Amino acid sequence: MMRRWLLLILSFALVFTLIACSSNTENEITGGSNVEKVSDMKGTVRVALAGWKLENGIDPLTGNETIGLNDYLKATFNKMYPNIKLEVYQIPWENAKAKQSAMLLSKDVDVLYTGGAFASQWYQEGLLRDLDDLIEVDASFDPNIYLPGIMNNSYSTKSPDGSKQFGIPVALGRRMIVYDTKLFEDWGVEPLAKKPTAEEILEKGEKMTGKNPKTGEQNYGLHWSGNSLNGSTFVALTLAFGAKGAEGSLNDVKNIKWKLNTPEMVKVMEWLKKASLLPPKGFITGQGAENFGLDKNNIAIGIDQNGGSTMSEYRTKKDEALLSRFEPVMNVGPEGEGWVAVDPFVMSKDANDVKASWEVLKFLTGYETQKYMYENYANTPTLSKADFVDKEDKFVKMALDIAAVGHSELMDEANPFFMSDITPAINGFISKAAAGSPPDIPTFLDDLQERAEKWTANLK
Amino acid sequence: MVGVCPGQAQCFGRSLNKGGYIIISVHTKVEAYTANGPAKRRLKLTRNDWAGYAFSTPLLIGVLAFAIYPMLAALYMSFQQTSGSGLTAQWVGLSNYTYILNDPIFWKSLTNTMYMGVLSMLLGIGVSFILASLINSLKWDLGKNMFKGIYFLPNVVSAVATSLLFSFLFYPDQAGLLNYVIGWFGIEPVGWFTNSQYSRFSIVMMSMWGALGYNTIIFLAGLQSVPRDLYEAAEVDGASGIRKWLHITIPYLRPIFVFMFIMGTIGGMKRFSDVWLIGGTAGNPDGSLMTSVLYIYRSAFLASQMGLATAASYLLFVVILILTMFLMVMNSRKNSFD
Repeated sequence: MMRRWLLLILSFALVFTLIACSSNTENEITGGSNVEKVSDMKGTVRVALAGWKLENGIDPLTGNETIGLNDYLKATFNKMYPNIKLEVYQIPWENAKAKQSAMLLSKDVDVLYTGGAFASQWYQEGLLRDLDDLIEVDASFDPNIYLPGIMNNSYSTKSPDGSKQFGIPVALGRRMIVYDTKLFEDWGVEPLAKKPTAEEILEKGEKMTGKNPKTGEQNYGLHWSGNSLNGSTFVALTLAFGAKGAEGSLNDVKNIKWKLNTPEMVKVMEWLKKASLLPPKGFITGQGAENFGLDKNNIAIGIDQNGGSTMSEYRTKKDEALLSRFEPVMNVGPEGEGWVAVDPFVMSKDANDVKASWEVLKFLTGYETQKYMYENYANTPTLSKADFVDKEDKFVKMALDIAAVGHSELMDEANPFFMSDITPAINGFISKAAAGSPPDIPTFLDDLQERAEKWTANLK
Repeated sequence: MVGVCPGQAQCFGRSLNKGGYIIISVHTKVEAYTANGPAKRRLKLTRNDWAGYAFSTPLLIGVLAFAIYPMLAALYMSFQQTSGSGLTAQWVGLSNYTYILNDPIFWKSLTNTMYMGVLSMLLGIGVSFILASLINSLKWDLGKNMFKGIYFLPNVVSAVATSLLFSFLFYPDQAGLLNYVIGWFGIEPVGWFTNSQYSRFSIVMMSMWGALGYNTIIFLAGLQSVPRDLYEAAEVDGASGIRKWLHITIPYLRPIFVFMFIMGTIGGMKRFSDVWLIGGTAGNPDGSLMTSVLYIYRSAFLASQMGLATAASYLLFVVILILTMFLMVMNSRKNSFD
């Protein structure tokens, strides 16, 4: 009898402890409070999400608890649309294109979250559905809540001719120029302008490469990734120097006119040639900036940075010292633009239940979901008025400013030859220049132009 | 596979007095004989035959659907100009092959692949054989198992983790462990992965570290099957340890070497993950880490040109086939143990 009582008491203690220690009641989840039923619509929607986390976990950088999508949907969508059944498939980013392509081809998916370049290529292959008819008849959907430069002028969301909407943006890549004010002070160099030019960056970077006059440590004036897959720095430079690289449309890749050996492109390459001597040697394999944004930093200007390390340190320690030390500015395009990665939600051409799929897509790209993604995973929203962004998070604010003036050109990852040949060629050029043996620029560009023309000719 | 080699079967396996048979065997011709010569072909299927076919059918269907069909479809696609996933395609004959064969980047990628593949195969096999011999010669059983475990450990680490680990070990300044160590001897930091002169060799070193354990275990299995009486006979004749190693162990393990050479060649020619993780799509530095499979990847998944990618895959297949046949012919010479 005694034993039974003891067991009962222990069980109660365990249950109460679990209840006391557990968190994330549905009301605490973003959007979880005041949820009301929206519709009785019935249906089953298959959703493939690249890189999303479905289960609750811990942020490895900050140690904060994160809420997985399953719990978020339980607290929100499932109550709003109780009769829509969601089948969610988590796809790792590695090889996401191959896996999601297979799902589209086998008609096993209705709604997808994916990379902008993948979405653009699928659209051109006829695998995705236009959303214009759905947007037109749905008064509850307001396209104006999204950043116009991203919603209306991105290969990731618009057809190559810009006439059709096939994607709704939900997350942005953060690429901005960030500089270390401490190193600028040590070297006695004027801070960067809010909208710096490529020339200013190079000139100041050159001044701050060498032994720091105050600390005696080796400093590097610049850093960017020399093996970037999407060539984002190169894209920003083409915008800065007005080097179009090509004329035509991705609708008609076979007839693109390549302009890779123009005088403007020569300026881009001259800049890269000089700048390649400034970063730590590891930059050509994507290394060298491990301490950027942190106390031990020795790089003056970081190109295509996202401020992630600084914000993580701030969130963990609540110490504003680093936050005030690292300052973001616009990118090098004429309006401060650069290349902006846009990850959209798209709908399969063969979606089983278009109406239910649209409700799901709308919900997953809406304000509440973007707020949830920012609060849990620090995703950069695509909204014009993202009022949930932390007031101290100047990096996300800067990313939104850059995105607001963003636009897609043919030097973009949506362009297949850009990804497969131009970016690797530029990265190869950078590695040679960093080793002190840069190729002759006109010859290099003539070769690239010839290669591009041959590639296009092979398509015909 | 364990088995005898009847008739004129070509066989890598052999009958051993202690260790059974060596694991590899390739039978090319097996004939059934009766007292009156070759047996007549039976036309009527017995119940046992039907059972055999029933059991092997799922496997055959699997092989047909997931191996033969994709290979044939890829061959067909290599003669097409495709867009994206290959939904729209048109027959272009040999155009893709012509384009690739005239593409200097393809040839550069093939050269890099062969350089890294051959070097990592030769060094990997050589070093792991020496290691296996040293471990095998240990009298201490616990020590044998300990070394086997230690050397096999890297084999369970993924290519991604290995690449990350080595990118820090080979960091191009004093922060890298290797550069820190060579700094003790007054040597300036080396750009192991960032200097095109060293990058390919650094990749070879990295892949050797990963494959050493597996190769060593295979060699150890082979070494333990060498008959003791051969060594005893050699000892009676006064042979030294080195002579026994050179004239008994190495010739006796020739089938294992052939297996390792062939598997090493095929594995080396398919190099992708590590070079992609370190050098990106450019195979940086200066394209020195651009391999054939990276070329195929770029064509298939970055340029969305499946036709070009499959044509390059078939060209690579032909190269591997030629290399494998060359190795087999080179090793077909019989020795006193055959």
